[in-house]
Amino acid sequence: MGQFGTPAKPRVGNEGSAAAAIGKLSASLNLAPAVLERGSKQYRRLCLHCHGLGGEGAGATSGWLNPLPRDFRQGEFKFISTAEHKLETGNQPLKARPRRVDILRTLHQGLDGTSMPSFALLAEEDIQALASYTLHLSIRGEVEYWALYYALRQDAETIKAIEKDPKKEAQARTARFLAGALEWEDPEADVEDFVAKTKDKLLTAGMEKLLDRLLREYAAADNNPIQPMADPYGDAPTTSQSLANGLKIFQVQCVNCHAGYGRQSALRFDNWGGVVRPANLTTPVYKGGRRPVDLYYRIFRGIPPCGMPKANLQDGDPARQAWDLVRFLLAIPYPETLPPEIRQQIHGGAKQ
Amino acid sequence: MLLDKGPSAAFEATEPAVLHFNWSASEHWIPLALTAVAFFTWLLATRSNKYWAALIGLNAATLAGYTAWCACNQLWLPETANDLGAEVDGLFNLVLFLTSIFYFITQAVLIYTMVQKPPANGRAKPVHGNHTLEIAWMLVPAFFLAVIAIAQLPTWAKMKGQTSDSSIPVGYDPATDSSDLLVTVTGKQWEWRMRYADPAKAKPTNPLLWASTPAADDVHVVNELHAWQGAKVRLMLRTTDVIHSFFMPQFRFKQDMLPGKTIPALLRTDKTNINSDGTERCWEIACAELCGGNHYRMRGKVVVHATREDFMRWLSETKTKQTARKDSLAAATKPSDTPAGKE
Ligand SMILES: [Cu+2]
Repeated sequence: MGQFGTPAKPRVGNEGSAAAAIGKLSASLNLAPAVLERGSKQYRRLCLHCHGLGGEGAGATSGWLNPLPRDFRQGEFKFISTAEHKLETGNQPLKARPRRVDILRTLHQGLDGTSMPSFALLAEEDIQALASYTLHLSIRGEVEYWALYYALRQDAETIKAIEKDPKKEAQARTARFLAGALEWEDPEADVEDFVAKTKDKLLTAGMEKLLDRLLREYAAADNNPIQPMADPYGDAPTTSQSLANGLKIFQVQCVNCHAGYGRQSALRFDNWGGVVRPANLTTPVYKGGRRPVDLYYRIFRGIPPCGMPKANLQDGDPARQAWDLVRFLLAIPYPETLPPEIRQQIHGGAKQ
Repeated sequence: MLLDKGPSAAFEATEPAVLHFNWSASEHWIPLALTAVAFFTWLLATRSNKYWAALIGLNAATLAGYTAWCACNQLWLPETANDLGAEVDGLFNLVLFLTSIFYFITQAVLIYTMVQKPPANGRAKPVHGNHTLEIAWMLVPAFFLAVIAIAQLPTWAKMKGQTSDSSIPVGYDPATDSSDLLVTVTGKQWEWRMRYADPAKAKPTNPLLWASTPAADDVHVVNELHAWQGAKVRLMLRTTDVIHSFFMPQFRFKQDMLPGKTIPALLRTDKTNINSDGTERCWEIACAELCGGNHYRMRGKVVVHATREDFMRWLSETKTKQTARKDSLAAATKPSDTPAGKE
């Protein structure tokens, strides 16, 4: 059915004039039907009850979780290691896309401090297939979202008619919409069929174009990793000077949101409409991973869907500044590793 | 296969590792047939006490036979990972033996009363108020319960006590902690977060305090408990949310984790689960306390390395990964060379 198949037989592309090109693209992203089918099976077994059948983040158990499970359909991910880049066409990507390894890291390690557990004990093929299926749901969700958006927007005339005679037109429109929606409820059909049946063919072509673009964006993200600058201190242990430098950068770059080193962070909204809180950096819990390189990624890419900006370390020696900041962040939770004056500032008198 | 032993080598979280029923599609007739048989025997049995008696006898015999068959085919209990586990099994067998005797005695009495002729006057002989009988059925079970209670004392002391060699329970004293390895296990909905103190470094002065305040060079691992053969492992059990129960069937170890508490436990690793050919026998960790929607997801594995050196190698590799300043995962998992892509 359509471009994306069904949960039992998922796929990306395969229909329409650009099928060959899209097929090639999706294969390069490891989105071949056999992989997706395996991923879908595991997804429905292990992920569905939180993330929902369509990846909408509203599965049966989702209501009890904080933070809420991710809604994949927006095509956005929090913990990414993608460098800012342009597409071949010169356009900016529509959203900050994750690299495949970012999804794999989350599957392997889970998200510490949330309800997303680690799946590291699954067979590696299953983890790979789950990563592919997550991409599938993201791409599918985004294409369908825009298709619906345009399908409903095309109804501008109806809206005008409603404004003229609200009661009569609203009834007629509801009847028309229900007629379409009933067909859509058919499990064998999907949004695309709904759109194709109720609206014009232009939309289907537009969806194909969008699908092509999204696939290119994910492929481009894979090819544009952040290349961490070499740590000028190498493997040497962190010095007091480095920590003092890190503290100084923190006070300029981070403290506005991570108030009180994150103890007093103010709540804010993310792009999904959820409430998030800038991390409390005095506890060694790192959702996006505890490796120094993970913190480096957060600093240099931020967390786009949550409005965490990337740090702006342009003056002087950016590599030194970056690693001073990383080393400082990694030391904050451990008072015994901090020099007395910094410890006093962050932890008061506490030594452990 | 109706009865299937779990995988022995690779750990596959997709399948339960312990004994499990695995109904294949063609075997769905089994529960249906059993239900039908049960229904018709019930119909038959309601016609006469003699049928009932025969049925009860048949039931007892089947149960005994099936138990024996399972025990002979190693389908009964999983492998034991340490001497303490073997002691627990010994206690289990003792209790099973004692209760079986009384099971068969009571079944025999039941059958006897059902098949004997009714008295000539048609009235049963009441035993209500018979002091001799009442004293007997208080004293006999009391005696056997006392036997069990005394027999289990040393094992219980070793299991719950905080030193491995005392047969009297000893409370935990951080000052005299003589363990070789410190691990904090934090249950959380829905996984186990393990934190290792590097055994090559000086032991934290107060392990209890260390359990709640991580040190900078701790090693963090998810769902994997590693140790080496012959180690005394001090587990500090904690939870960040609700009650979980840390269960390692091969060690016969089960301990609840309570919110707000750090519960010390001692684990002895007398055996390794690394075979001589390098493969690993699956020793499972599971949550034994229903803790929420994804309770079933709380599974992990125990790896007991053959030597301390092997363990230290694993620990330093894990630590290297944890302190990576470059992304090694990125290079290793390009989509083009993943096995799933070749399907
Ligand atoms: Cu649990």
